[in-house]
Amino acid sequence: MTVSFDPAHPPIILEGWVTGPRRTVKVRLALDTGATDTLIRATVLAAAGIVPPATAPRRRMRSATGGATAPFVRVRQLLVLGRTRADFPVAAFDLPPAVMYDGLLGLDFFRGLVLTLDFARGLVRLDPRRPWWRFWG
Amino acid sequence: MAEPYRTMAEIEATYPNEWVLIDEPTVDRRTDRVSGGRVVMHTPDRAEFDHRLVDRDEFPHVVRCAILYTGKPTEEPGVDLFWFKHAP
Repeated sequence: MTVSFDPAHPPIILEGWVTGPRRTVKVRLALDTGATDTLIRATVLAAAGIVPPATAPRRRMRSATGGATAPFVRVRQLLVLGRTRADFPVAAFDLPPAVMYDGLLGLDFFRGLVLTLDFARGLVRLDPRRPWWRFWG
Repeated sequence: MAEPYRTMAEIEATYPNEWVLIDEPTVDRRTDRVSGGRVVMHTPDRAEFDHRLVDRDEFPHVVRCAILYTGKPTEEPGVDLFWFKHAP
């Protein structure tokens, strides 16, 4: 699937479906090629029925200016750009209310797929990996 | 009274710079973005939005929905788009 974005105004915002036991919620996520993991606002996960248990693994996340810990939970489905990840681990993080999107789509979502960012045309595309014999097709 | 179906353009014009909870959103297959739906909650205050949706559970009948901000997404200088999982 190919969708457009405004290359002059980062971040690249995509819309994705988060499915939990209670709800399916469509939210905006910032595509973040600097993030190893996907992060979703904790209240969105709670709305979907996903609340980290006290025993949820907590991992330290580091950024350019500091670090924080966040529990990791599994969402039943995460659907973005026409691709679904099932039983997918995400960090449940309390993004500040001033942030106008609900998470970061990290590199783990794109593993095994072909992500194309076309900043000349303002297009982002996600495809399955092509067999080698169709590489030039 | 049940809210009417509105297009996303109508929702943005009616509730500018607000967080909206849209029940049963329709999606434009070409852009993969919400094209419309019935707004069941709107507020400029995200903390209030989360409180009503999660803590007070005011919308138990809403099972397929969208959470969107109707203004321009702004870059929040306090948030780094740059996360690395640190070895435990």
